[in-house]
Amino acid sequence: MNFKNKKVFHRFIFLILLISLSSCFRKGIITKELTSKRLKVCKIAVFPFYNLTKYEKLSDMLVQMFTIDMVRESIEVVEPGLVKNFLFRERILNPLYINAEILKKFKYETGADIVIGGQIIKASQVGDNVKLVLLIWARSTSTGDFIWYTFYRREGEDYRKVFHFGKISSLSALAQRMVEEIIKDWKNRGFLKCEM
Amino acid sequence: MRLKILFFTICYFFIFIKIGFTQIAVFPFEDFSGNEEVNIKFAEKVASYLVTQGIKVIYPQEVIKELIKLRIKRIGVIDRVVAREIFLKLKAQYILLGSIYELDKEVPSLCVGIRILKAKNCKLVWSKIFSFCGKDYHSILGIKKITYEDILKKCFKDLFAGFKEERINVMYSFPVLEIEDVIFKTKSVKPGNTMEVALKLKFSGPKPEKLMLNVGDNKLIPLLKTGAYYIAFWRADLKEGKYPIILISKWNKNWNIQKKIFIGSYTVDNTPPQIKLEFWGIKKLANMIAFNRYLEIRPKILKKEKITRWKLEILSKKNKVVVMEEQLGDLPSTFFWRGVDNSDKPVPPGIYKIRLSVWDEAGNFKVVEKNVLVVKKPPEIELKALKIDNKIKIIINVKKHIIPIREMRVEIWDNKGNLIKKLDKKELKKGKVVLDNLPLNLNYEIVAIDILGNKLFVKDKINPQVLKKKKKEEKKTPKAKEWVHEF
Repeated sequence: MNFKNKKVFHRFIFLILLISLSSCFRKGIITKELTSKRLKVCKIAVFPFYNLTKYEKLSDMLVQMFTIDMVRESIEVVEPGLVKNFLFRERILNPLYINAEILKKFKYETGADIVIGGQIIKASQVGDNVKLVLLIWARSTSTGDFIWYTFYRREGEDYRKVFHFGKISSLSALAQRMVEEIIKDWKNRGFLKCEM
Repeated sequence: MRLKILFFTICYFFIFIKIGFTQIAVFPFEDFSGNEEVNIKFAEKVASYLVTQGIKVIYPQEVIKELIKLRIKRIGVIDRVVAREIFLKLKAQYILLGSIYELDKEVPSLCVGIRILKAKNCKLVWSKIFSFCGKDYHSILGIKKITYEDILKKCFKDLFAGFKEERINVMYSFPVLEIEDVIFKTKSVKPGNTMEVALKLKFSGPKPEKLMLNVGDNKLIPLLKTGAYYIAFWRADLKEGKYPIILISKWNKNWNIQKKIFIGSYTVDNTPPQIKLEFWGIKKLANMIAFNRYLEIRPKILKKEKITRWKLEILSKKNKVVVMEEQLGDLPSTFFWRGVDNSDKPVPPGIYKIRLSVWDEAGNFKVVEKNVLVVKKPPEIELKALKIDNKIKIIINVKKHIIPIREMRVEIWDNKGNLIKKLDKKELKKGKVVLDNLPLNLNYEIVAIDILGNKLFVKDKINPQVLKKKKKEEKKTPKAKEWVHEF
């Protein structure tokens, strides 16, 4: 190393460290509780997501991912087939605009305490760069009230640790990671408690 | 009776003890990766892997045959009836459903999710997801490249890691009923009117002996089979309110069970919708509202209620319909009327009645009316000039206007621009003004604006008429009152 000044060398090293570490700083999940009352959540149903993107099958994919991850977390989940049959029967095209009475009916039939739904706001896959923006809400089936919502925006790049390690380059992997993190966040906040 | 139940229980125990071995029915996988909608090959690979792990499986090819019989349209969406049929016919205690989210052999990348349900009650017991993209894999020094086969091995290992068979102690499985479709003729009725509900039901196992609806106040209505549907009709309660409808199914023989399913509710409504009309773009007069350009009508429903039909009429003073619009469905939030009739011609000034009729779902109807004054014409001022011996006589006639005039003036100028005469609102209010002995070659300007803003503005030269002696009127032969044959 033939640096004229030692200070320049130290600055160079510092800069490299700063760049490589910058990818480790993550954007947080925005979760807001809409009621002060805590509900007993023993059984959950996942409704189809309202998809604002061109990826048609993303909604089905996310429903499956939420279902799978919740079952893994030992939460009782209503089988997505039963949810789909119910929505088809009630002629509900967009679960975003479902009224309290129908939610009550859903509770009566499936026993679900809350329903999870939401919107896929943005999804893109350009080469190795993937991006996904989700808005997820939870509604009580007994009152129809919104209990909490989560806004989460992520890029594959956000998971880069050092150099190219850790980066996510597929939409499904990013979605899976995001779903995992959302459920973890809800669990940490104590939203998914069956015993009160 | 007790002995009978014991006998049947023992019988079922012996029947089902035979199928007590744990078997998993592997359904064809749903494919979201865009290649195909259904992926059988992948499901077969999963089934083969499970066999190597010592688990008894029913291969997807066999499952498909049963699914065809059950008329399943979409793989991955199953209900309790299908699950129970699989349990009974294929003797499978578990159902494995899978979804492929990403599959690319070239990159390679794979994302698969599986869920295992208990066939007996359609309850999710196990699920896992596997996701891996070759691009995200970086071996040490980049020596080894990962292949699709490597990912597949990793996938199967990961998906079923920790999966344990649960011995199900099922002696018998209860019959299952699923609602496929519910049709309400109407969800809101007048007291005493007929309510009608049609249900499409799906069964697995014996059909219930009794099928009825509890329509509130423990009133039980039997369901009658008509074609593919079960129909029930009854007279609605006389009391206003909301009544729940619950489907009750009873299996007495052998089972002695009863199931209740809430299917919806109906409302008895005898109150007409509460509605109010709000107007925008208007001028409030002493006891009337008036407009000249357009009228914005905003109907406001005071008590939230579903409107099924509406009719808007605009009637003239003689109750002749000028505009009529009628439609089924929700009431629009705003109506606009530009003071024209159905053929788009402006209506003559006057009072018009706006009548809005609305019907709710039960058929109760309400009419609201409001009178509106329409004035689209500006005030009229007539100027007549007569030439008498090189002098001009001007007669100004202010015609009656339907609403008060805000501003009004008449100015007479000569050719050089000197003001000869100016008449203001006070003088013109009399109706008729006569000006005598005015010189020739004059110009005039008339301005009149009413309170709605209709404006009259005329600026011109005065062209006096020369008075001529009246001609003697020719005597006209009177018409014969009776028909004359000589023509």
